[in-house]
Amino acid sequence: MVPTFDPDAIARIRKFGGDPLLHEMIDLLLAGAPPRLETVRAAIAQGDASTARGALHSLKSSSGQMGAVALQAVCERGERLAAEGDVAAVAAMLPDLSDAFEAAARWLRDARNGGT
Amino acid sequence: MARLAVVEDNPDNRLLLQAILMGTFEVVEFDNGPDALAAFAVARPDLVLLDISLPVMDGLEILARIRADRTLASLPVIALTAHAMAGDREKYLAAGFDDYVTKPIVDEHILFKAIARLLAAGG
Repeated sequence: MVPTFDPDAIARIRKFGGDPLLHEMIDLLLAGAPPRLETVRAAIAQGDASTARGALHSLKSSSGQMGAVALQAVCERGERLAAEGDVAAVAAMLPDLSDAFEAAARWLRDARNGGT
Repeated sequence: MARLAVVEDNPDNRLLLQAILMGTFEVVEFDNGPDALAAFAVARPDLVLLDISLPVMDGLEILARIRADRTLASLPVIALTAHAMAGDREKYLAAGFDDYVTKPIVDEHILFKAIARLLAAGG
């Protein structure tokens, strides 16, 4: 069982650029993730594994950087399935992806408000 | 101050790299390969941090174009990747990258050491 969040990632970003950098990066993830999730959904609906893979890779990278470990893991699983061309398996995990993003978004909003 | 080019499509990754490198290096940013290559032809950076997974033209293709260009061929290029699969390092070094750094960047000293080593070697 992987941990859901890694507070060290938040501490690291604070070290690099203080709260301004942390806030900007959280805002970028919160604003950037929903369109990427939508890209994954639309691509899967059209059977386009390659576009889904790209969006999942990008979201994996962003979430990993912010310590959203569970979201990162779901994206990585989806990226691997998309790379294998298994569109049905990616479609089946879309609810997991949404849930993981919602949980990560709550955690990041807390961190932004000084909770982490 | 050495001039570093960052080619990375994720704005948050660019922001973090900028925060890490700022003050030590001059950083120029690109979100895609064609724009970066066009700019390198005009002003050659001292080193490139190149993401592998990029839309339009991926990092391997960009590297191939750099190595095929007489004026850019010796440019030090570090691969940045979130793949981190076993054997990746060997794969990217074999492809012609000078070094390989995984994302997310957990220890900035690893990145600084890689950059310093390549700048000292004089690309």
